Amino acid sequence: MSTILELSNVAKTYHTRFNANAVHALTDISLSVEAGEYVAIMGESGSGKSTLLNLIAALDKPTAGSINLNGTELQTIPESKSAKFRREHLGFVFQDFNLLDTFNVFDNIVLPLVLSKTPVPEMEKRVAALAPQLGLDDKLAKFPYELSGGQQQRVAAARALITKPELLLADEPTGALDSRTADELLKLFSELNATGQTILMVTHSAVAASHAQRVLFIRDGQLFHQLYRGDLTQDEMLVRISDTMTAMLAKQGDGNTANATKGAI
Amino acid sequence: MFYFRLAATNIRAHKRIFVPFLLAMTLLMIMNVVMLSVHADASAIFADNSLGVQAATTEMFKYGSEVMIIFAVILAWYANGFLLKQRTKQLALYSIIGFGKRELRLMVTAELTICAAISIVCGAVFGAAFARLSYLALGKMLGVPGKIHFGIDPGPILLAAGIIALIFVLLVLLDANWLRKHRPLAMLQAVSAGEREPKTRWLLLIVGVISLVAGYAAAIGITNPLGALQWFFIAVVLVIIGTYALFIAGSVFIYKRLRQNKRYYYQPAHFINVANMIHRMRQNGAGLASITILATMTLVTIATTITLYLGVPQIVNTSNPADFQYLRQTTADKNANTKITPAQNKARVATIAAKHHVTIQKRTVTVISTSLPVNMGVNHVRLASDKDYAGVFGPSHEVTNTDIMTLANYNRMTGKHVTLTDDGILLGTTRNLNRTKLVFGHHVMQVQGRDDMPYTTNLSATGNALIVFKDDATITKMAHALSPKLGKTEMAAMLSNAQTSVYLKLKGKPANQIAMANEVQKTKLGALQVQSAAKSRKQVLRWMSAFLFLGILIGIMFILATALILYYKQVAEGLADAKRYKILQQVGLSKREVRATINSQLLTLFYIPLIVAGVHTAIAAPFIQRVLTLFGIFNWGQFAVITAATLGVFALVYVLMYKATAQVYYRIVR
Repeated sequence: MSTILELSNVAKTYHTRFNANAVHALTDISLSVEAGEYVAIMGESGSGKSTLLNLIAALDKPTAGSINLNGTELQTIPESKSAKFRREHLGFVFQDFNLLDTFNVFDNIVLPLVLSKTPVPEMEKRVAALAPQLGLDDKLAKFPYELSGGQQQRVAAARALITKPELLLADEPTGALDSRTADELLKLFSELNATGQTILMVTHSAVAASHAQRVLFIRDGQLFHQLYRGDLTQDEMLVRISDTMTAMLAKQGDGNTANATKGAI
Repeated sequence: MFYFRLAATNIRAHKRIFVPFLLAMTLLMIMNVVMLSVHADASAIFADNSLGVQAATTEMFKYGSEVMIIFAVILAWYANGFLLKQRTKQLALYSIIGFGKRELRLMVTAELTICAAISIVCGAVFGAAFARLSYLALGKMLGVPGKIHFGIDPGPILLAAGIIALIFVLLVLLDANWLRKHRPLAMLQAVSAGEREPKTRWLLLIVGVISLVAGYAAAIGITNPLGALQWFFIAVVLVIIGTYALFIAGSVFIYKRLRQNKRYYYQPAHFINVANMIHRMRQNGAGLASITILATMTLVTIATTITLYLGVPQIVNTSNPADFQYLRQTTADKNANTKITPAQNKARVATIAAKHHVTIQKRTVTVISTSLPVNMGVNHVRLASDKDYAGVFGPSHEVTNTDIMTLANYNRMTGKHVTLTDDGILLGTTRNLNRTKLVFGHHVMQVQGRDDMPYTTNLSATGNALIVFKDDATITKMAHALSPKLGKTEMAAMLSNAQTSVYLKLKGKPANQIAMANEVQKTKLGALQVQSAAKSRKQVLRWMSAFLFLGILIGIMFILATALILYYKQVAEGLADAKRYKILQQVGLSKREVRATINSQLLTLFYIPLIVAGVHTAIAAPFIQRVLTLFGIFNWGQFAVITAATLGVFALVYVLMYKATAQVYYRIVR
């Protein structure tokens, strides 16, 4: 298996405009994702997981360290090219779907292709291939407001997958869904992964994370722990995740002191 | 009282949405005050002119103020709708903390009452101040007659206050209806759920096409400018209805057609815009239509009044071909009841001129046997009929007011010694009719020379001609050929009634020339219908200054209103688009691409009103030109150039206003 994403010693520090104190969102993160892997990143609010995702998506640049996506150093991509890079190599699924209400389902799905100036027949071919897989083949002419939340999230997934991205990034994809639709979406992700799609999902839902092959825990901007699923069932994995989270919460107090010390240095 | 206190708190807390609303309503009040003041004082502003002019301008501004009221209702409706939309969340919040429909209605009514009070008072003060100041500054500069109460009449201000108050009553009813129909909580969810795609409104589309075509047809087809002012008003109303309907329904129709064209639609530059436009046109069609109408009104008003102002020399020249002229009645005229001889007349006028330090440089005496409107056809010359006057582009080209003169009088007038054969004539026309012969009945007359009347008035849209015949006998013969029914005695009476006019070329100060004219008029020396170019120039200038003053005043009003709508649109669209552009950025649109998309979309919205306003103005131009011919301005080219220049300047002002308001948009979207 080849490595598709490689982060080494990544740090991100924010400086707020009116505050001299720096906020250390990420202090030192190293990780790698292999092609075809399904990785979940877990952490509480404020643990830095969204910052991490923004860095991987080239929406933001790290303060230190390097991020390598399939052979490309993200720091070397100039600002003007980063949108194009994102469009061609990454797929995005957001918590609140982020569909455009002025487009119907078909148009929402092909949006990245249109931006890359793909010919119309090619677009139609790709949608025709992808839509049945996501159960959207009879919904293409509908508008987002006519769809349920689960359907909307599947449209968002289709939009992310239509460019055949090397890496699918998902930011709390089940956050706005009820448990049944969330379950369907997670099943869909597993199916996609089974066909070889690499997925990196950020979540704070243990259930969502339990579908992944590997779960990384971050706390206070650092990798805290990681779990491999191996041969475990999903339920067994869920238990392991819960245990790890309990352990992580128990050490919360220590972490805070440690962080404060670092801030002083 | 509780509700008023609550309303006041609300207005203070939501300055961002209430300030534009208050601004809009205050401006509407100002515009109504100015327009109604103009209507009320039109006869005073035109005090130097005839009662007919005063009545006509009063009538014109009556229509103007009616259009302004219609406009105020539409704009108030729009602003109020925007206000409601922005406040849905807030109203929902109130209903969560226990406000029923009745309480919400009372609160909204209290808010509108406060807004009404503020905008009426501010509007009255600013409107009066603006009208008064512009009158004192601009009016004085242009020489508009003084001693009028323009801008400080209580009548128009109270009337405007009444109108705005009524509009606020309408808004209260609209809001009550809105609250009755919507449950704010449901609205809250609807806002986040996204909007339904607008359907093509076929009825509105058809109504729009029909009204616009009918309005255009009426504007082009009205050939009698004076008798058809009310028809033109109807055409204006039709065009306004058509513009609104087409902007709202037609744009959705066109953009949906574009979306069906896949090769066009699925391109980065068109994709986002077309989809956005389908949705935003419903909200913004009305705003764009308003901008279009206002731009058209501005263009027409300013171009027309500038043309009139610059046309003063032409207007004076057409009615006053010489510096000084009068009809002479002396012992030389057969029917004249006077003892003054031509020599005495000449001497006395010369004395008066000398007394006022005016030099007579040239004196011309013309004796016209008769004057007839004729159609100088290639095959036949005939008396002009009503049909000749009622062409689409004014009277037929061949219609001329023809002065008939005998050869003897012609030679006396010019000091030449021309001779003519029995079937010979001299012909001069202002219409470039190159005739070598003229046929009167069965008489064929050869044109043996060309000459024009040295001084012809050009009051109507018809041309002028001079035909010199050998003698009275020939004239009688021709007149009989033109009108066989005329009896011998009538013919004789007509010919014996020859008119003698004296034309003077003068040198001297305008004031002196006017004094001379007044004295000639008072003194009994056989001079009738005394006309002084200097005197009428002064009068016409005053008249046209009044027009220009009002034109600029109203133009400024329209431009302010345009700025207001532009501002409103940018705020509304910025709020609607902010989220869309954020999503696009996440999906993979660079900042620069986002900016380019916004620009292209804004530019489309920006150009459409300007282009449509240009078309409207072009359609209205023939009618306006026909009205201008009533004043003696026949120069189509001049009007076209002034209109084009006005369009250019307006476009520039529009660009500046647009740039300024686009900043508001960018700030919200970013």
